Amino acid sequence: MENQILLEKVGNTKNKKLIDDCYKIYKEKLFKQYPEYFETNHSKMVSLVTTTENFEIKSIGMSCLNDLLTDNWGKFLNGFMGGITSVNLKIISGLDKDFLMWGSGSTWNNRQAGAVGSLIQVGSGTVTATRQDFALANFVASLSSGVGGWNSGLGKIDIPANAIATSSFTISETGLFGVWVHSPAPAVDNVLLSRDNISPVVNVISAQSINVDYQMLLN
Amino acid sequence: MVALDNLGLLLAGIFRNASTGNGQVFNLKATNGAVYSTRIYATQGDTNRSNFDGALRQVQIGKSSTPVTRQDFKIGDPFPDSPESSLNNCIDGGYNSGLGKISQTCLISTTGGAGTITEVIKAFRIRDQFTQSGRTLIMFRDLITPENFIAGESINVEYEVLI
Repeated sequence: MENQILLEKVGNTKNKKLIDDCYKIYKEKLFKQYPEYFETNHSKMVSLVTTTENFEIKSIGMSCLNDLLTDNWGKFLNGFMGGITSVNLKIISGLDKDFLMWGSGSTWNNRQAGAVGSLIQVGSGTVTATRQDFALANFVASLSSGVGGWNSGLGKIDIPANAIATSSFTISETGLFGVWVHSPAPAVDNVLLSRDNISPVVNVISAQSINVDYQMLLN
Repeated sequence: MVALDNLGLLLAGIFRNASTGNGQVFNLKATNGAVYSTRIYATQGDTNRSNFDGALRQVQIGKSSTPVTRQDFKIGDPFPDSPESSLNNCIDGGYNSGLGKISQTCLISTTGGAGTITEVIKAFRIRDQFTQSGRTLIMFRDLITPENFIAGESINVEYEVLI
């Protein structure tokens, strides 16, 4: 099973250094299995999931080596970087919607229709992630995110989220969503940007803290 | 390809929530060397304009070999007679799902003498939050294997981003 080495971290304190250590483990494994990812400067998203009690790690898992960013992210980034007027993305319900990248009217980033930003979800689905995914296979809970930090030295974006579990369940997948406005009638919807199978699976016990840390790597 | 701080800050900003106030504010350094306060998300009620403007697809070529840093904010040494390409000179290659690849090609028409290209930049435009004027910021600066061109030659610069 992938990422078993992470189990050595159970019992540790959950802090920023741990996230960087786990990413280092992940990157070393990734480089051996997929060296082309680094040779060709792929951008890459990784997801680290832990449960903690009093900041002590009780369970830990990470995204799998072959997980991919979704088509939604590719289309959005193409519009963002390329000045394209509108991109067609698949929202969480599976419907196709047009997102206006720039110009007058209900652009993707216009808060007229409500709060915008990001969202992280966890689930217990085990279906392998694909670029065409638009929702988790088996949604369990949403975690408040809305945080994004740029680390210039490491060339990565950190997107953390956490919540207190109200029941016991297993996390085997996570998703990072953009919460954006589509047009022409302005409406806010969730757009899946990355879906990740988590290994080993993370066992959640009610009242534990669930922590999901996404990192986007820009080489 | 090196992603610069301007791009990293803006992409990080995409993931921040903006439900109150003026949204997320960043201080980004434009190609003119000035630092501008900018926002990812439009102010609530501001339905008539995006914070981004249309002249997004710009590339520029130069002849500097100064190493790239994430703090770069302009091309090292541009060819004075080869200005930034304009929106109309760029072709959207689109996003290829199978390859996970974004590609864009821009055409630069040189009007002066021959030269050797050693660096390229890709820029985008965002409005500063106070004047709503469009500002040019670079997202990538890259040193390349020296490429010669002759007087009056047109140059294609193609960017590919793999996800």
